[in-house]
Amino acid sequence: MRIALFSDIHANLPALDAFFKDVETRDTDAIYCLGDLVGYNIWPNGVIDEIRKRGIPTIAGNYDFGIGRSSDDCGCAYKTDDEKENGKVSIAYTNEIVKDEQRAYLRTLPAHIRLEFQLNEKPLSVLLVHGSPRRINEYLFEDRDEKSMLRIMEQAGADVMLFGHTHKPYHRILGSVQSNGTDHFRHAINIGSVGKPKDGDPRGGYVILHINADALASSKESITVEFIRFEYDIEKAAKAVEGSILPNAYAESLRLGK
Amino acid sequence: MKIALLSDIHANLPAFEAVLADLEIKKPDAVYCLGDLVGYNVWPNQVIGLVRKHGIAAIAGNHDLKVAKILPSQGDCSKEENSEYAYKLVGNKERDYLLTLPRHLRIEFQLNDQQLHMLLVHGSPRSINEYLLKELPEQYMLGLVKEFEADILCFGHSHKPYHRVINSGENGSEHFHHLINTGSVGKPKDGDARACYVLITIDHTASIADQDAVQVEFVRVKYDVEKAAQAVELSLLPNAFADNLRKAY
Repeated sequence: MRIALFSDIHANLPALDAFFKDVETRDTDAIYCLGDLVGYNIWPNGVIDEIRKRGIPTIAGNYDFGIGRSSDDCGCAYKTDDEKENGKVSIAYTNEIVKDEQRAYLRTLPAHIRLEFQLNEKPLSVLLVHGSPRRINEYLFEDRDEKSMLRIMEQAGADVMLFGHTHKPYHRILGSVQSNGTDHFRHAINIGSVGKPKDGDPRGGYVILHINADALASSKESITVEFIRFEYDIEKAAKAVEGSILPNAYAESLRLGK
Repeated sequence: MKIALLSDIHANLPAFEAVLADLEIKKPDAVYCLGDLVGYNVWPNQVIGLVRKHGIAAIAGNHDLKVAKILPSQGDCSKEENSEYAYKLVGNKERDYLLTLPRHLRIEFQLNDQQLHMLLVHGSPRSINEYLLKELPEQYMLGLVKEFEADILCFGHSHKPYHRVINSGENGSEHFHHLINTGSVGKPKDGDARACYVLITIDHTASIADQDAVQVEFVRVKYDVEKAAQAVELSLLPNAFADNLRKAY
């Protein structure tokens, strides 16, 4: 099974269009979206419409949660005063331009989706969340303490956990030993961002999860992840920011991938 | 949020194409398939191809798992009528797809500081080939939804659509659970030969205490039944399958 997962489009329609073009060439079995469709650019309605049109199973991101409730809080962890000021402009602007029907869609998005596999008669649980299983806006960075990461996944009953929110992709394998002495491998996978990458590579990013027909939690190699980067018209997205009341800093972020 | 659930397509391409055309009009926000893509007709690979092309998230049905044991014929082929022929038609790539489908899909809503869990299974959460018929005792169904924490339990397998609401609340409190059989796209058994699927609308006010917050609409779609029935008759499949399609039993 080859499952494409994408998230954090953030109203960047040129990036989303390029994602669809790319994923159509990859012969995948299913597609899921892990949220944050809106915020930081000028096409929130267009992005929602394209995802709804395709009937893609989608969960809510923190920005979707805020806009769905017409809130002025996106749950974002802005650090500097500039970031906070810019953030206020972005959420006020997004609240203003998102239409009723699109807002109602965001308002009723589910929080999590869980795929329960039973390959070889053994359960394998794949959990999709936006930030973490505990909070929609918790950042699970790659350098998080291994024990903490394992605890989060154990508590959520997840053998494989896919999430976005930080816009920095990674795949981390966490090994543990079961009470019966067998190895148990858990996979924590940040899928990166389609429309606002922050890892220094300005191209859009998403993942394809490969699950073998004989996949087992006791085998490290039965789950693999392909990180895909695709080119898109970054200038178009950046100029759209500059041509709007959104802060120009967001255009610079797109150009630099940070 | 409007969710379309399709199930039990059973290799019936004309029926599935008619449902896909209807979905273009109804425009649901998400589409899921509850298994049994193959068996009983001649187009398993075409159906799987369309499910994959449309990115429809699917779970496994009992017929999908049969391809693990029924392999394509080698050497001389039997010329006798045989229901196993339906599975022998499934290609290698399609076999891999069917055999790695998830068993269950759980969609967890948190719309009002409260969890609302929608669980998609093929037969029942306990077994892929258990029939959850409408007539089952309420006590049995309550045990099931409580054990598997399902506020909205969706399943297919019996090819007979229904929506039933049960209440697990105690001491005057209310906790409604929806039991939804999606019916069958490609092999209805409720006397109506048209394809069947279901649209579920979840309002932002949806909660376990409000039984009307989850709206369920069964959609019937006309399709070329004769084409599907004649395809059976022209194949090595038993002719009874064609009669099943024409009379929906």
